[in-house]
Amino acid sequence: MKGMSTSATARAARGGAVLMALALPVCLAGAQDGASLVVKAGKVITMSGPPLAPGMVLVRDGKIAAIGPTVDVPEGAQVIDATEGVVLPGLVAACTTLAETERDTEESVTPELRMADALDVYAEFRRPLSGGVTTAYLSPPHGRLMPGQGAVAKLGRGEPSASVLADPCALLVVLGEWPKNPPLLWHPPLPPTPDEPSAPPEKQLPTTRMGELALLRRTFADVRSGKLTGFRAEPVKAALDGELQVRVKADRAEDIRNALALGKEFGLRLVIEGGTEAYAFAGELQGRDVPVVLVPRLVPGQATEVDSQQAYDVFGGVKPDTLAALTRAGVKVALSVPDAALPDLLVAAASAVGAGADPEAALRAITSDAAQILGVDGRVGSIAVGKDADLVVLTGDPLATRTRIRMTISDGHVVYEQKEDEATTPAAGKLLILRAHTVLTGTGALTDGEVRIRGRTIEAVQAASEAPPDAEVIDNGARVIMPGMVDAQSHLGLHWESEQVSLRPAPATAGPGSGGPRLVSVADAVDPTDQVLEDALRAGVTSVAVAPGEAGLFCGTVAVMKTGGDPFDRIVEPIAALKFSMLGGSQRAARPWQVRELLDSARNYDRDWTEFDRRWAEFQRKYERKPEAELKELSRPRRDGQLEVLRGLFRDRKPAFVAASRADEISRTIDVFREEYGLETVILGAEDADRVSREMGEAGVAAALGPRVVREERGRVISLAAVLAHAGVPLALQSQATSGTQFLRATAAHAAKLGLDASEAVRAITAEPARLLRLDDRIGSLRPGRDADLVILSGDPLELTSRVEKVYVDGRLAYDAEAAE
Amino acid sequence: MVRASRCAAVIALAAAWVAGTGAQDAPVREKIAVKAGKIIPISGPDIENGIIVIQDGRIAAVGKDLEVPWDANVIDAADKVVMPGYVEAHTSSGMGTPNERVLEVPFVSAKDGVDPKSVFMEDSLRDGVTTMLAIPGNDTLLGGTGVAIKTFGLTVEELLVRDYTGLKISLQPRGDSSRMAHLARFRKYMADLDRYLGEYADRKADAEAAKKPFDEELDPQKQPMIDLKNGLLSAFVYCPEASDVVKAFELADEYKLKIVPVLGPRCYKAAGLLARRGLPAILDSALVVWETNEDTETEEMKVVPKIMADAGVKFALQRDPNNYETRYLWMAAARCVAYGISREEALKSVTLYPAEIIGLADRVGSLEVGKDANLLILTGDPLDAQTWVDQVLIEGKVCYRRAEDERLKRLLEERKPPPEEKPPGDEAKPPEGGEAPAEGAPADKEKPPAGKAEP
Repeated sequence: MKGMSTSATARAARGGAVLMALALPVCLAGAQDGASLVVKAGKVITMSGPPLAPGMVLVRDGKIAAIGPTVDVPEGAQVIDATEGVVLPGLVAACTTLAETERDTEESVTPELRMADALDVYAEFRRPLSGGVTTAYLSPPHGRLMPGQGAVAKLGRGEPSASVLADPCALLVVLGEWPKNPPLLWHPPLPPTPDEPSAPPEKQLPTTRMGELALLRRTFADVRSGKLTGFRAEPVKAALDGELQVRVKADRAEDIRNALALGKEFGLRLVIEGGTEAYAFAGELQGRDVPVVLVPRLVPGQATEVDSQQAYDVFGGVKPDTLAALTRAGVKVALSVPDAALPDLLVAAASAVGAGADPEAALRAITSDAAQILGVDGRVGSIAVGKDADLVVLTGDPLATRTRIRMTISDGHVVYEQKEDEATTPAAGKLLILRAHTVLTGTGALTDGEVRIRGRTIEAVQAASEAPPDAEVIDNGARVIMPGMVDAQSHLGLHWESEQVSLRPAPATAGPGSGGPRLVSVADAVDPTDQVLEDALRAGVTSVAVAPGEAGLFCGTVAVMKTGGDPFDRIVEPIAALKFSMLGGSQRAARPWQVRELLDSARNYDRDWTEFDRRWAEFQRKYERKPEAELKELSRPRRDGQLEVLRGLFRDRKPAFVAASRADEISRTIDVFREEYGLETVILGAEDADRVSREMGEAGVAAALGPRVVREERGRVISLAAVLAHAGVPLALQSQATSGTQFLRATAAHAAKLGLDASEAVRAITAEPARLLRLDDRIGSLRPGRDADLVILSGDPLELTSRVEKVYVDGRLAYDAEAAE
Repeated sequence: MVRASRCAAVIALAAAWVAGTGAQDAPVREKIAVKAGKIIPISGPDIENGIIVIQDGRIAAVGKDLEVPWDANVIDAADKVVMPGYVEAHTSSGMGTPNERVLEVPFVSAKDGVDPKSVFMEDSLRDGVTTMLAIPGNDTLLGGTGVAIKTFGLTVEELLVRDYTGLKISLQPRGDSSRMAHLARFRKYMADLDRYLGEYADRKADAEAAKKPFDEELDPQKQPMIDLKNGLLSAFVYCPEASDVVKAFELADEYKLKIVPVLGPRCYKAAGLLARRGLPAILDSALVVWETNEDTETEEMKVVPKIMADAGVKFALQRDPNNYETRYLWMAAARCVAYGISREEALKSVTLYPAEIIGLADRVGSLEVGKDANLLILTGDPLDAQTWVDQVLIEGKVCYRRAEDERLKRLLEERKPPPEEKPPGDEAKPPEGGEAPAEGAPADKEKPPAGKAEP
């Protein structure tokens, strides 16, 4: 028996040794040998003695070398001046799941699992470090009765960013609701034989609180009597021998009582974790040397409800005065919070003080006492000579609301530093001048030109001239500056394949009156974090018209948004145009009549409301003069969601984007939309446009072509773009893609190769789509007053050998190819 | 040693069988001289206008101004480039499903899964890969053992270069299992194995003490793990994440295992550790990873081979035949050069280094006297996209001639020029912002807009 236990410790020691062997060279490589660091503070709260005010801490080789009111500053030492601030030891979070999310094993009892195995030592622990947490207990997941051994990790940055400080730290036992009803167990023999046939899955304990205790007793008793030995029994044996702490997750009073009874029965070294109702045990725990790790359900920025029974049972909503009650009774307490709240661990301590705890006790619960409970107080938890140089530099009293963490130091390295809040918009006064050999304005070109940008907008585009002294000048040499490209139609960010856009309108025949949702801009459905927007940005497309697909007659609204810049301010125009579809199907013959019906209603609606508004305004004017005037004959027209949107065609002259492919569809579109209703019409797709190009040119409709700009007929290749340009049809290019917008420039290049004039080709992806969307006062060209969206290319944009080097959106550098590599 | 001799016996047997059946693949008992415009021997500087003399399937001489033996068949490659066949240190392709569902199956062998007639083998030969380690996939804790094979032959026996090479261990937790449960499973297996071996030794000692015959054999299902423990096999440890590399070394130290790390793409973070341990590694076919920097919240491009090379880690490249971008070893090497790795290192990472990793550096991976005559005769520089593999010699036998490659011919045969449909830019365009996948876009463009089909 003794042999077993020593082998368990030996294994633990060996594991530790291996880890040390791995971690040690890393630490040495990371730390600048002999380099030292001095922190000067207004106050140093050491947690190992009285606070020093003022105080200084000298750090050498990752360890604390000296502390005192003043220390000798060695030559070449880095000095951190926090004379206004306060220094605390790095915080110790006594219960986290930083290594593993809640993924439970199949079996109820798996003491052999080691949490240290699950720690990603290369992960970034930015959030905990931003809260000053440098040491964390890694808890196994809480879904099984005995889910494994917790470990303690040291957090930092570098390679690797974390290391294991203690493994194992404690054997976890979970009581209460969590471990009930584990899954069925099935161990099929491999292969099954007549002697050992395949058996059905077995049920396992526990389903009840009785079952939990029975299974625990059996496990401990079997190991104690030597009935259960081997790999799985080793940690349990260590716990029975008092070498390994047993941490019991117990929230309700009966669970805590059971835990204490179990500890007494088997002589275990207990730690109670969770402890929702631990306040009731202050007396019982007094003098028993059973520490408590409290884990209140703190949600940053949200008031926590503690009265609900649900919160007590499941989430461990700890009563705020528990810490006060326990510490007053002399019970050692550590305080931790759920992972998401780790940046606010100090807030948890402050609220405990608010509920009656002694401020020093509250701080101890997140530093020295927590370290002692975890058994790592020899290394961390207080500021003392020889301990790890883990420090938190605060702007003031650690428990004050407005105090902020200025920096976190782990092993003598600054691992977190609070960034000054960056201005979200560039300083309006600062002038940025971008120069290049060629400046394409979207409508023309300049040689040796410059673009002057102030804030978000373009101030001037001119030949390079002398810069004012305060301006920042970037000379791009032989490169080309062009306006950010504009995609005349795409489906970016709408996740076309995977999710149906809910804007899908009713069939055309459903008639007006049913369409409240169509007031909605399609921009609301766009996922602003979609990777394809970033892809488009990298290719120099800074604005895209986003439209739903071609379902029904009225397909929905077209929004224009930027692909970069401030993610919350990307929408240029929520409803820039309205999209219709004249595409065939069985209703081709009926489509013109449906259009007439729809547009008639919209026009009448617009007329009625315009008339009403006019008369209402007239009445109000009259009323001001003659209050006794009566509101006669003034009946308010009915509001209608769909017609309200369609009214934009007539009132605001919003363009109609009409998908039409065959020649007859295009002709019908011209007849109805353009000739009969006089709307600004842009034909999308227009695959057969060459047959009706003259008609299109004469009627004054525009076309958005793409992604195919050629058509083939009887072996003859027809360049649609060239034909339409020849017929005088205003021309824009579209990607019509969910993810292919980055090839917009390639489409333009292809059109140019097939005979479209080069300047027209550039225009078709910059100024023209912006004009068709009636947004040419903001995007699509480099002219004074426009948004400073521009692209710097290594060469001619129509050459596929040239590449996008920089993209500016709203005057800010949004993509830099060099930096991205 | 026992194992090695057994292997040799297996090979000898196989060879004898092949010879006995009079198969076309009988060892070549003749002299061949290859006159090359340029020889890239990998192990030394390039040789212009050199000659390689092959005898009995092995390289007998390499150099300039060598005498061509009077009885040698001469292959004239005066306008061509000759280099050793590519070696791939790790592949699970060409064997159908590469993983068992049961997590601990060290006793299965890739030898039983390799399909000599698979398109993958044919493609490998066409693309110049002459030797590879076929090993079970990355989804099983103790996945089974691998075999080193060449890429030409009708049966697995003909393919065999060396049986029983490497055991796959995967640190990728399966399904909803956690990392610690996965590792605990491994430790439990090792503890159980220790106990089994102890009891076996006790029984053996008891029998000897009692002077009784002892004929109990070791459990064959455990044999590969026993060989692993005894250093007769090396473990190819798949590490999906950087922290798994740490664990792999921890296990190697704890159980005294010889390991070869097979890395996932995000393992670039462990480059420093790999360099300190001085072990060569097998890289994932994805050479570039984009990651968000938490500090700056910008995306950063990480070029894995560059990071490894800068840290001083030797690496072998591998293919992913399911992806056009990653299906050629030469292309992976060419991309490494594009990312700033020296040409020599890049070429070694597809020839000599993988050969060293699978323990066959004495036979393949470079053109040196005594090594197998696995030669590629290329129409130009190996890293040039315009270059074709013209002929492949494996163990001195011409196994592939481009002129006779019917399938390739059919692919490339003269057709009427395809209709101008797609903008040519889609292919020709340089990837903007790094690695924008070029495949997605044309597909999107081809897709009919939703609602068009449906009235």
